[in-house]
Amino acid sequence: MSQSSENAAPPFTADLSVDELLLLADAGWEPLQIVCGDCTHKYTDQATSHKRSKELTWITEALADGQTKALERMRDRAAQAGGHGVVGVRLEALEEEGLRLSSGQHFSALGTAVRRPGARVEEGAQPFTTHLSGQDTWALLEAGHRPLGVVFGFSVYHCRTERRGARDFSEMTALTDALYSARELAMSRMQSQAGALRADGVVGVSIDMKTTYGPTVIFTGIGTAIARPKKPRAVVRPQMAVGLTG
Amino acid sequence: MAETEPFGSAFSIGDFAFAERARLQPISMVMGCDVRWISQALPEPPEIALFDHVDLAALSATPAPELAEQVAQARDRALKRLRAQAAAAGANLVIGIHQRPGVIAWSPKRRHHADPVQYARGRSKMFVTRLLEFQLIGTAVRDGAVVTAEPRLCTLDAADLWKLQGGGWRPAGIVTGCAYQFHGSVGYGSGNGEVHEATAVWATVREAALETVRAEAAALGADGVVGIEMQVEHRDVDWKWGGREPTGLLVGVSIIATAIHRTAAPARRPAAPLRIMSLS
Repeated sequence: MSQSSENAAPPFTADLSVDELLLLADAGWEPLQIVCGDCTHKYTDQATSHKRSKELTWITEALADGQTKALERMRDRAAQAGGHGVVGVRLEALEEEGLRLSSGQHFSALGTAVRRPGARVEEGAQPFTTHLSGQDTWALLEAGHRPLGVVFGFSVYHCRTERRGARDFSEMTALTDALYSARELAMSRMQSQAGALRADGVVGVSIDMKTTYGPTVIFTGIGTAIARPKKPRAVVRPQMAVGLTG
Repeated sequence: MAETEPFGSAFSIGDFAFAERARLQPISMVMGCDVRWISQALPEPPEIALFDHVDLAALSATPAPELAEQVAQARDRALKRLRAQAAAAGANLVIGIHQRPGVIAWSPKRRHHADPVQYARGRSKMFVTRLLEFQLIGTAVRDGAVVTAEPRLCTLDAADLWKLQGGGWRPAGIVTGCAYQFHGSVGYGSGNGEVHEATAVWATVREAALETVRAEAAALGADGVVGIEMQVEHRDVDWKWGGREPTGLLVGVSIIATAIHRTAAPARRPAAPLRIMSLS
């Protein structure tokens, strides 16, 4: 600040766009620093049967453990930096190529630690985390809602082999069932995490589904758990606009 | 440059409109480039051990300073050339600078020790080599509001600069950071569990690059850093000698961003947001 020479605080670093920076400043939040959490996790193969579909619990637990550790380490870094929260959290899972582990993934969580000067923070409270953008976080805060934490659910589900005739053009029921089961398990785990945070709901959920050799279904759900305001605020009605961008 | 000569820019139509509002006069597109061959000898892998309980801090990765230094030199030279082009065009600011990914080749190679005793023992040394192309492109503009000895650089586009100016901020300059970390042996042991050596490499490398960015911003007297562009690369290194086949992990992070400083109280409420329902 012209003030910079007088200001002993180190410059902030933010993984935010200019729009996000200004909007969060408008809501009374200031950025502190980029915080990261990492965890490389390996897992052993799990026995499967051609006759029976089942969840591969070892692998599912390994993925969940890796993601949890990465998020916890990022949140700890934010707490050390004096942050009240972490916004714009990006979760990345790099698969084994490159790492050349027998079977494993590298999980990373990266976001911007923010704080609200003068805000009252409960003793021992952990910083909140949200994977929402600065714009979405601003809109959420304006409406009086509070982000509590990033929640997620995994399920790695093996599908039994279906014998089919050459001209059997019917539904592959075993795979359909496996997809349903994987989704239900992953989403229920995500909701359980939100319940543990005493959240009212989960917003901004993004889901990802991959089918790999086996066939095995890998289902991932990620969202932000939020708490409703005690006194609901009047929500400003949105305006309609015609964009000039193509 | 003659007054009548048409300007060149990488502006979108929106950027062009904002550049006029921010009183930035576009002059021409400018480029800085550096292509070089880089290489570093890697430290040999440690003795393999199976860990039950590991202190993460004790497993710090080994920095690969030569790689980081060579990449930083390439980047600094590219920036210098970009700045020189802008100065020759009569600009005092270059905006919208982007780092074009330019990795052409990367390969681990084995070379024998120069030491004849080590050579006789069948020991060899591992190098990573890479042809690096560092290319930066931006738009040189004239900012009537400031006078500087040489052009300032920033990664932000005209629209972002206009919004920042409204919030009482100005670009202080470009800041960069680069770090490489290596561990000779990762991924051992069976069963489910964290690979602490690999985690340590990843955890250390980003923090080291960000620390350089913070130090450069502090040296510019900046209050913050925005518009961060982070490139991450990771390679495995197979040793394969003496009946052992440990796999090493090399991770590199390169960051380019814009340092900003506060110049005044905000000229207007930041962004004055409207809730808009898009029809697209």
